[in-house]
Amino acid sequence: MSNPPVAVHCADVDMEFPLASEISWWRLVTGLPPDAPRVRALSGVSLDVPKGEIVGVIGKNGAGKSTLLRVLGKVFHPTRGEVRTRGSVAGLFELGGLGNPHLSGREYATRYLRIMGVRGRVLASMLADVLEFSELDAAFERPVRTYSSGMAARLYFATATAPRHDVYLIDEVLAVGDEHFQAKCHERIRQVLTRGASGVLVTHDWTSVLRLCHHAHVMERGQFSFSGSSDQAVVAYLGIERPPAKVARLVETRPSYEAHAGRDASVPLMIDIVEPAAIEISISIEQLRVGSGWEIVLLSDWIRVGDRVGRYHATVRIPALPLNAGQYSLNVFVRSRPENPLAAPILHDIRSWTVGNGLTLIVEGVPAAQQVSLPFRVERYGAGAA
Amino acid sequence: MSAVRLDQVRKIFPPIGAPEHGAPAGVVAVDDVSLELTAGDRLGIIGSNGAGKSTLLQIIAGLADPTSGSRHVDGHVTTIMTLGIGLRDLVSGRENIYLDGELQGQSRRDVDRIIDEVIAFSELGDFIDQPVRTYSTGMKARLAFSMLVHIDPEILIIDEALSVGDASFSRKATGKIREICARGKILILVSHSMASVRDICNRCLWLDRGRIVMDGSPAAVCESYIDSVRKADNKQAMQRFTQHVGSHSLDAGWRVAVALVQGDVPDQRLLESGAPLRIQIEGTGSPDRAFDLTVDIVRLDGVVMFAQTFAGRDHAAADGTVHLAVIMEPLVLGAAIYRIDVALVRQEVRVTTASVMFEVYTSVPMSGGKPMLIYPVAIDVAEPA
Amino acid sequence: MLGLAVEDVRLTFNLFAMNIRDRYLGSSLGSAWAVANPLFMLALYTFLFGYVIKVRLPGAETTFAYALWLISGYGPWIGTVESLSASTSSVVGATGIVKNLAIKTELLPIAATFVGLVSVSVCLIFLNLLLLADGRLPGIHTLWLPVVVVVHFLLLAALGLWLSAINVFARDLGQALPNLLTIAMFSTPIFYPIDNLPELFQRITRVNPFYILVESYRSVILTQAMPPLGGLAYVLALAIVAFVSGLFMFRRVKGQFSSML
Repeated sequence: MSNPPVAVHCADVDMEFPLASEISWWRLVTGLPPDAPRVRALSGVSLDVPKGEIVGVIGKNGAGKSTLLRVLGKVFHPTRGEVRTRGSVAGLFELGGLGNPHLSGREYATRYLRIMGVRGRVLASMLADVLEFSELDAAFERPVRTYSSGMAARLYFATATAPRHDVYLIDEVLAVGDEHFQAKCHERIRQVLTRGASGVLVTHDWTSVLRLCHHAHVMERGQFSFSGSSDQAVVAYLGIERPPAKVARLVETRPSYEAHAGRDASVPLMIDIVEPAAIEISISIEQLRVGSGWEIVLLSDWIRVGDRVGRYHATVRIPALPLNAGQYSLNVFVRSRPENPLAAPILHDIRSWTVGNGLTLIVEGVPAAQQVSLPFRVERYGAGAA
Repeated sequence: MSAVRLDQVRKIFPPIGAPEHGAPAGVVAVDDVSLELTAGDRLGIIGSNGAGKSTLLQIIAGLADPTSGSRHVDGHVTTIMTLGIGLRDLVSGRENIYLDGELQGQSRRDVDRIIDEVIAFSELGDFIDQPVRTYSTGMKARLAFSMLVHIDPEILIIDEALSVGDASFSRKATGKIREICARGKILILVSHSMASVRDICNRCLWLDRGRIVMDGSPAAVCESYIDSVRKADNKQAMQRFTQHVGSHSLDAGWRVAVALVQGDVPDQRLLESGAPLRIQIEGTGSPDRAFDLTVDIVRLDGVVMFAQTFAGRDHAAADGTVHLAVIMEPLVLGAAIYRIDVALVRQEVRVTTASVMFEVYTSVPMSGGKPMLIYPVAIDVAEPA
Repeated sequence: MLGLAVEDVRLTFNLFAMNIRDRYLGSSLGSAWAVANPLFMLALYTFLFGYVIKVRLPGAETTFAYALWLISGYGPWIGTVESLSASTSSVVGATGIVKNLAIKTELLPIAATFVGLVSVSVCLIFLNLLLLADGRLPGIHTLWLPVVVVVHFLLLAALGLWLSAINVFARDLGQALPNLLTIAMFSTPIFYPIDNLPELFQRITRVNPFYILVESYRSVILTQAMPPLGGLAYVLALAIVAFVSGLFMFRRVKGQFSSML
């Protein structure tokens, strides 16, 4: 059986940096003693990216994710281990490193593309692409120092993704910029993957990883603490502890509930309030398609349950369920709000895939291409009558 | 006794370079602002970019002098503006905490008392003893924030620094701000997040082009502000999205056009979720009515929200013209940017098409996230027996 | 060859263009400074040594002759100072590139070295204009000029590799450099003929590569004679050895640049 081609491969990579206090030019030239104290940024990291896929690495700030990306991008050379990449690599690290704030957007993009080896007519068409994708319009001709951070992020991302590469190494770039920009970035990344390119996405934003990556690793202190499908990796990363469920709890929940597309849906839930507290409940229905999308499709407000001890029956009612046939994730949250309006609410119980105890909503009906069906009606109107 | 008092403060920046003929004598950043704050006031300042918010903050903080008018501030001002700007790259995080303490007028012993708390809050671990130039931007922001909130500020000015680092740190940061506010000092918060302002502040100022447009309760001011921004956004959306209108026809006799009608405005690009929407389609096809009308709504990131086909035989008039309204009462699309494509299709060929981009907003953003659809999900609770 | 490929040439050129651009970006006169600065320095030193101190050359009594003699030596020195200053700070000043771009960092000091070429060109053109004004047309020996320039800049590139790498770890070098260069300038017979030096220093100066280069420039432009070929060959050999060893050294230490920046 042949393995699919691998676009990025790294095996047993260690990355150590000698402490700055240990480094002197002379010692480097003659060779540092092996026992000089070092900072270990990466330990024994192995990663494979199949061609055409993008792999996620999630972790908190300082976990070593950016270092890993730079090792893959050959900006750093690993202390141990090997790194192999197939094809041209684009490193989208801290962008704007080439920039001089006095340059205009166009001049920055031209400088970057020239350094990447792009010239002539290709350069001109890429500049047009950058202008269009970044939506900078007239600002493109103005100096970068007049840009807001959002505009600058759009410029850098558009520029870095203009030339075609085989491998994209993306570092937190998508965290800057508003949702519209992030949606465009996601779309751009999907296009790139459809073309056969591959990538590694490194971020603390797990929603991006869920939407773009089938597989992901969780990085902690320079090592992978978990590797698996993206949803499992997110659960490991979030590490949300199940709340103690002492003050209030959901009881007798079923692993799955049924509903029918287009018909009124009703999901019965039971909550026990064990100690008096102002308890509220809310639910969300999410669609989880690892690697292509994660989305909260329907969301309820926080609804008051009660504040006395007792068993409460709560029924979730959704008229004419706008979801098409399929399996959805049903999440339920139980919380209480403290007296002080400035203090944060306390979560007492939860059913959610992020905690590992999610519930499923199975929607029956005729299979359709879209996820949702918007309620509507049609009306003919006469020509001339509005 | 008021702790912060501004009287008819104006700030004019001289023009840069040679003044053009007929141009104003300078940029009026702050125009006739009078303001009084006492202990316990939590003021939110909202306004579009360039409205003068940052300049006003600089004047209150004493970083800039007003061109005219008076400023009286009683008490030490702590500002959290561009995060990380005061960090010394070459020394360790720990040393930076001490240095910053000195700048704020505290002795090393004063800082020693709180330093463990600061380090714990920043969650930087062993990195605290590494030089700051080795930190990622997220780490720098965390350090800067942790340093500033552990000082007991008398007058705290925060300029949009609440969205730093990852989600869990951001939550901690917001929680910490609330704590500080609860201690009864003066807080001035500049934010683009109406939710933060409504949550944290007890008074709100709307600044536009350096002038105070409105001064009152956060709920009232935010609502008025959002309303006016809507109207401006709609104009912008119309301009932005007008260029994406594509109308193509393979056959000269065929045409189709679509208009988005909400309320009494004939054609909009900024639609409100939850309000009724009338998608008005008119077109001309062939008199034999052997064509279909397709209507697709696609979200900016490619997700198909709506795809319907209407047979010409059922919906077109005898002369082959179509006047059809797709009515959504209410519109349930979530806040995002969409494109609607209508086409007349004959034997699998899209003979004529029209596309329009539009944006949907919601006036009641939900706190749990941004759902794909804004749809009534009710939870009926029965009292225990 | 030597771990450098053809693509690197283009990249080096782009880095060089970036350097020039960034130098003058934001100033209103812009690249006019590239011409104005060297000319100003030439004028200053001519005035100082020609009129105030009145240094005279043996056999040439006029100030004009002295001015020509000075410019032909000092012009290239301006280039030397600019190149060495630029290359010394080329790595520490490019943190964004070193930490984020997978390029051969050794190209940074090499590209920075070319910065000096601009000044040298300005000075040499100015010099030739003066000569033409004096009725002296360039002769056959002027064809040696490109050779001298190549040897000169190869030496500067080599020195740049060493200086830029050491500066990353010992920033003091960048601090001390202006003074070191000033000492070097006054110890090299640029403003005064070599005979003014005591005998011991004369012998030392004769092996100073910069002195040999100055003499080479002077012979091919002013006196219209062959440059000292033995001397040039010696400087070339020195430059090659310094360059190759510099490359090896640079590559050994460049892995730790990011820890220091």
